[in-house]
Amino acid sequence: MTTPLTRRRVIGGIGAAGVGALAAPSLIRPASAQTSTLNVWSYSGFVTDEFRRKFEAETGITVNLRLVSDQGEQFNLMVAEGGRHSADIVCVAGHRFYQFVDAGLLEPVDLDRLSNWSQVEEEYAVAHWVSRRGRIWGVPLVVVTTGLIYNTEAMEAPESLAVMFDPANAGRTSYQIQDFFPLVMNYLGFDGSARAYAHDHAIAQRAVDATRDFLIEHKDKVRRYYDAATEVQQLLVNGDVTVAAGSSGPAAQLILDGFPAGYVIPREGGLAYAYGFNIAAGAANMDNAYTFLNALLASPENGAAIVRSTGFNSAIKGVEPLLSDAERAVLALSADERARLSWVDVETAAFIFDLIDTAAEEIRAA
Amino acid sequence: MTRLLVRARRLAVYRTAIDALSASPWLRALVVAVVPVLWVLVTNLAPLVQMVAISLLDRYPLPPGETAAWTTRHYRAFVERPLYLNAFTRSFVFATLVTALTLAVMFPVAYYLSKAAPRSWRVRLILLVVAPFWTSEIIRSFAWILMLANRGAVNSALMWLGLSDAPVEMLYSRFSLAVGVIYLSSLYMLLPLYAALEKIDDRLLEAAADLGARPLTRLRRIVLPLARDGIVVGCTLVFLLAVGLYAMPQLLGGPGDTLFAATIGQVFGRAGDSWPLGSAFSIILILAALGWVGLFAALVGRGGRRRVVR
Amino acid sequence: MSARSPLLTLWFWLFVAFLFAPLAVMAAMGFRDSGFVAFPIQKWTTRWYADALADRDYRVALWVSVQVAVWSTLLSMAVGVPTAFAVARLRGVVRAAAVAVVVLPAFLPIVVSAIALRMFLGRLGMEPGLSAIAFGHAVGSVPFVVVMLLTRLNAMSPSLAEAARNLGADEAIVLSRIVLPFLSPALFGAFLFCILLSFEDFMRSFFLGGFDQTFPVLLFARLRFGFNPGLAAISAVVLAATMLLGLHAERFLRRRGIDR
Repeated sequence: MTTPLTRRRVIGGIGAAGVGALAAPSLIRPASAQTSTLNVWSYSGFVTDEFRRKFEAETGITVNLRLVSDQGEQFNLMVAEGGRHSADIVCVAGHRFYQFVDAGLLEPVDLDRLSNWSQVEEEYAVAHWVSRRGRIWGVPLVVVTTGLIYNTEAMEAPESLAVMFDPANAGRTSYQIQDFFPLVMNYLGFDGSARAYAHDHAIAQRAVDATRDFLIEHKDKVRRYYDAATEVQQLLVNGDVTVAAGSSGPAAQLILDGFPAGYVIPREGGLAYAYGFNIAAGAANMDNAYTFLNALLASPENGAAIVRSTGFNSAIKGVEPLLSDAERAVLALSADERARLSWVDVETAAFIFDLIDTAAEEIRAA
Repeated sequence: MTRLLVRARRLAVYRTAIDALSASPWLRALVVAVVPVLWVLVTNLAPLVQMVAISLLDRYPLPPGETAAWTTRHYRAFVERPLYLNAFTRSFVFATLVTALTLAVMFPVAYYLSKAAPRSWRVRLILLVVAPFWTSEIIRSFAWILMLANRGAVNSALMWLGLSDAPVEMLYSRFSLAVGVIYLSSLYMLLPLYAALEKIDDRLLEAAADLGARPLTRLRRIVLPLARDGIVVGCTLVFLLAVGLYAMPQLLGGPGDTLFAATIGQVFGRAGDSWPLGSAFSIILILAALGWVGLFAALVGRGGRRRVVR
Repeated sequence: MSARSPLLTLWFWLFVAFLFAPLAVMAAMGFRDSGFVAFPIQKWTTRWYADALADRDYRVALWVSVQVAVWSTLLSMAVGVPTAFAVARLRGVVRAAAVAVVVLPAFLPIVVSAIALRMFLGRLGMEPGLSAIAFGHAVGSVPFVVVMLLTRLNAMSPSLAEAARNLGADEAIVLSRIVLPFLSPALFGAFLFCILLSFEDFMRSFFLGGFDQTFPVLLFARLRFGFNPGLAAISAVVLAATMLLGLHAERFLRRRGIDR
């Protein structure tokens, strides 16, 4: 029997096929239940397709990749999972990873199983941000610095944070409150690292309150408080601000794209910390996790790809020769500027971040 | 469909069941109520109870093996810190104003769609108006950034036309925030208004016109009272949306326009043991919003009834 | 307000312009030959659009989003319609309380409800993934369905159903021939709400999802390292596709309506 294929029939057929393809979602088994797999939460661009394919072919491990966009998000998700972590590897090594450590969400890194740890640049392998309670909790891939990003057509290179509070720049500045806060503490003569206050939290609270009040008083200079580091790019490109406190990656991307931007570490200093991977507490595929981290450290090609997609400096050896001259030039900091950087110290004075978080909410709400 | 149902009547089981249903309003109510009651208990109340519990803990999430004490200090924090109260008041004033504005903008649109537009075009026009809502909130916020920025589309057009020499600062202000929120919430006003206006009998309006009622009188005495339900629902939905919006205000608002939902989002977003504070603030927001909306519905409802009686 | 006032027509089309102007700007930005979106567009390229169309991740994520939207809409309607009927029977304070409880999820800040749901589903033993996301979206959509239907149900005269019953129609026939047709504008609106709420949701999808991500979740993750013209391009493509689909569906429905 032949039936002429009418338009109606085709549409009906497509409808039926659609329903079939929508087969009950409960039939789809969770990926995390298998054994030769590895479940990774990652920022976009941290694991290239090429690296992933090669890794899967060489090891027989299937990598399930889930892109995440923010530290707080991962924290809340891990907590909500209630100890049954769906990820083996997470991507939380910013300067707040100590909160993950303290909440028992991470596994310390066992350097004996991480044979390629020597691939991490020496300067970054021993820094404070990666250690808490004397143990190492993450594998760094890129290094972030914070400084001032400015429009070179609108102003000279600023030397001091004072430019952020200059009446001439009223309504023309922007910053991410929590990241900027320690620097303003330094600017006002307090200790932004809070190391000096480690034994007396009351002094720290007074310093934070004074800084908070100063920032509220200078709210008229601010066009906008941003959240994600890359928002600063849009603010500059759209001509809404002329100078902003921000991090190196977004600045480097702007400059490489030909936008008249400059990036400096001001006199009062800047912070440095790292992005990378961490192992989730009680990861189901622990061996695979170490295999993966070892492979990442041994792949300067993947390291270079991360540098290109984020604009941050690499923390692993062998990446620099793979970059173009222009990229190297933009990423390089002068010796003076490097000397002004301080590692975010989460070993001795992490308590300051809680105070800053509350202050930041109050500044916003004011 | 009807033919199928008529054929089904030949089955004894079906007939018994349906007749029992027809005979007893209580049985009908039971069948209709089972699903809602279960759903409400499982999905609406359980998470809420959990949240109330968390809001009374000293801190949460806890490191493994530790426990937290019970406390009401997070509720007290709301009263004790005037800065939070600021954001809270701002949220309510702002959401109320935006709701009123959205109603003013959308009422003529809904009226056009339900009464004035050619009947055969209506569904197509609704689909047209709905189309932008397929795009994610963040992308639409970015689109507005491109419109309103100093070097954005509007400023470029103004300067090209010679209407201004320097960019007008529109972005990151209460203005851009209101534009963005209206943009996001207009649909939630439109559909209830449309559903309400559509059911008003055209002949009623024609009769009123024949009797010499002027357009404004017809609007006030016929259209508005009959559309009251739609107005209440639309305003409720838009208010809820405006009070709970998180991403859009962050992207389009200025440094002085932080809304309470954003504050709550910040508390939850900070990756620490501050969930109780965020939960307490959420409970406060829910109760206040419910109360405000309930008050509004009661006032409008009563006013409407009085008018009908008169 | 005369029904055929040109002012009314003008207002409507101004509103349409307000809706589409930013999206048109965004679609144009997809052609900008640069890493960032901004005015002016000096050099044009089709590379971003080509990349967006060729990107497998986008297609996979879109398919996940479509499945979630369909399932969550079915679920929301299946729960929301009887809920509306049940609430419509109540009167006075009980009714007000019932409405308040039913619409609760719409009042919750979405980040809070997403986290609460995730913890709750974990307790129920439900794995994160498609079904969890669809369930979560339904939780968020049901209040909208109920509220939309209640407006219309309030306006329905009980004598209509009564008359049909007296004429011998049973409950199922009353429902399918009288009640549902009367509700159709509200049902249509509720249906649209469900699909749209699901399709553009980020928070619930993020917290309830596993390793298969919905489209907005993917978009957010990419947005983190810059709003490049590629994101503008894929958004414009999705917008155009949904508009075409809507037009097609409308024509299809209309034709069926005429056939019958």
